[in-house]
Amino acid sequence: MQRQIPMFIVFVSGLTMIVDYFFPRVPYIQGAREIFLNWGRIALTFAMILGIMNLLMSNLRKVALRKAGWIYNVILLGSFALTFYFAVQYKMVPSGNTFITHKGTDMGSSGTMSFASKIFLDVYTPLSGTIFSLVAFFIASAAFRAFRAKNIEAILLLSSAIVVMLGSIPFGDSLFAWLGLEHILGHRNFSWLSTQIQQIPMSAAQRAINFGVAFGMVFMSIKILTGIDRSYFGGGGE
Amino acid sequence: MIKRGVFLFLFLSASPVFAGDEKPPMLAHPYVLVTMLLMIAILYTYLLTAKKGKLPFIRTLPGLKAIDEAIGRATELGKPVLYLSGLGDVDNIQTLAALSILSHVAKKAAEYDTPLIMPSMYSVTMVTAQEVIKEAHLRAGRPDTYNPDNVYYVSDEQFAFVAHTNGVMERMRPAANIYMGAYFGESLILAETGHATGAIQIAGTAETSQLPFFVVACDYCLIGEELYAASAYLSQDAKQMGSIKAQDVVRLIVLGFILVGSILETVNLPHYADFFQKVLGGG
Amino acid sequence: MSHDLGVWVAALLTLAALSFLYKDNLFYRIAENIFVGVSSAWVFATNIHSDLIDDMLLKAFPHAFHQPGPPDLKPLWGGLIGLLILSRLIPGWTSLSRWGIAFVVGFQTGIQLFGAIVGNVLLQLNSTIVPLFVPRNLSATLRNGLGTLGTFTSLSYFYFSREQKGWFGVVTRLGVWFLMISFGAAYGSTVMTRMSILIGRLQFLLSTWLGVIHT
Repeated sequence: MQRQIPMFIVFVSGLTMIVDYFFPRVPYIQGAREIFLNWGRIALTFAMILGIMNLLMSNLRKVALRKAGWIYNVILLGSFALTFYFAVQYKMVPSGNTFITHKGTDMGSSGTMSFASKIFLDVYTPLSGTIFSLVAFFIASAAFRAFRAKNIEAILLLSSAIVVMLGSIPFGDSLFAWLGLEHILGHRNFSWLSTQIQQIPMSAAQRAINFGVAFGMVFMSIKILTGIDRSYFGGGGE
Repeated sequence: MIKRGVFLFLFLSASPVFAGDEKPPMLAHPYVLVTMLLMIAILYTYLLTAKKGKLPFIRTLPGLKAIDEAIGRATELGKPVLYLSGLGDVDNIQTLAALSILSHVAKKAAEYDTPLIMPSMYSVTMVTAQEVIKEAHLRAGRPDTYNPDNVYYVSDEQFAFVAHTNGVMERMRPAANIYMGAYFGESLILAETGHATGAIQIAGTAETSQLPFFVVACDYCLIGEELYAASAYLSQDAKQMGSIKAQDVVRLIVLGFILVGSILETVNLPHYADFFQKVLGGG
Repeated sequence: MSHDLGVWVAALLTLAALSFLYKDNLFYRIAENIFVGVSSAWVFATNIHSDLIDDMLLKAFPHAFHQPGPPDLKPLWGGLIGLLILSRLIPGWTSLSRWGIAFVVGFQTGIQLFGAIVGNVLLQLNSTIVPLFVPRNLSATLRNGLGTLGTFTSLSYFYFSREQKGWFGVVTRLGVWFLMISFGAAYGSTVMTRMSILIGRLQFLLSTWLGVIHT
């Protein structure tokens, strides 16, 4: 029973979406998709409480037990409390550099800005951007490592990466001329070569991956809806 | 003969039952429905065959063999295993596939008595993963070693989650990092940090845009549908294995369609050429 | 150099986050914990506003918020499902929580099922099927031929129920080559956009904060 009711709910809610899609005139089900999406969003926001509680409790416990590095947990808890206190008072819809409070007041990026929007602009945004920008260093280090690979697959990967990269910078065209590739490929350049690679082998292979992903997704979906695969509920497959 | 067959399919699937101009049709997207029913029929055929004991041959995926080796290595080194189920919530099928794979990984880790660390970006994924791991410990006969604190929530913000996970990799130095599920702009940040810490890394995602990064930076990578196949394969359940075979049968049909379609297109049969555009024009 | 405290905070946090490239250190750890605390609170607060207040309470009880219009009680069902998921906080109620999760898993799986068929099977089939020979157009013929070969062999690579040996091994090997070229091209094409993100951060440090360059 413990597993059967959830399985039944999975089946019915999934089937409702399928019926809504294929038979749009079925009474009661008509327009269920939008309603379910709305319910799902609301439900998942409620569920966030589980995560937030987990975060707060585990950090509080570490502080209480004075575990190694507990001061960092204090920093986390402090920034959470401060942000939550101010953010919950103001509903901010980020739009460019201005924020709109739930009271309907427009606030500029300077002067009258609330403390909550300051946190967003001066803490959240720069940290998010900087962590993302780390990828620029890693994209170079990973490519450098790939240079050492000696099999044909790695060479193909690296060559197409280099061509496409050179095709997107002006330096590529000067290099093309300097290498004398114009004599072989006529009046073409790296950007032409890059376009060809992206349009022919790349799109061909990506189509194949997408086909496969679809097969996998469709069968996984059917297995989930019919309860054949319930391992995500801790059932270990059966 | 082939042509007639193709046209019959086209005709059957491309004739929606319209009732009027204003109201939506009784049956919308009939071609999608036909395709779906066909796939369900194929799936059930192979499920039943497999259930009768006729297990299909499924080749070993190198990435899957590596999972067990990686957990073994972590055990030898006395270090934990880091498992991430991606940046999707349970409403993403990739996350469900990742949780299925987790069920196997957690059981192996429990058998070897190796801690499994799993930071999570979403609350529901976290609680679901806790259940999966708890159950895995039970199946491994080690319910006492289950530690719910090892599966925890971090933040719904993509890069805050990454910042924390990077920190965990540097501080705890897991011997194996397993990334399964949906990943986005952060895939390379995770994989490169993991590489720098000397961990064995196994990834699997159906996000086409992130595959290049995992392929370059990880030791093994499950590409696209291999992620879904892996979750079925690892269960070693007859029905699940049957579903992989069914996946292959659909692949053969699609390959056949491409081949026949291209030939028909080459000999210039415009009706055929327009088929997909016509039927899909309606949505 | 900027005189704005906010810019200083942002700059120091940027440097602390970048310091991870050297190694894990005190400053990175502080930045990491601030980021986790701030972002989780922020996302939680904005979701409370947009989903719980706007989408649920405001619609169900518009008068309580001095809004016009008839009440729409449907969104309260979303709240109920949410409460079901939350019920695991009460010891022994875990199974009820699964009901709520099952709803989310079920309907989203249903949507993704036909989504995959439309987007990744039928539409793709349409764009894959091209004439293999285009009269008096060698480049189109080559392009179509190579494209079809690429899709065909790459798709064969994923075939699970046969060992990749003999003639089939040759086909799948070709497929792997196509896949590798594709990965390389995708890798190369993202380099510039990723660099521009880093340049954006450096510009902030050098221009907005230090004022040593003018953009």
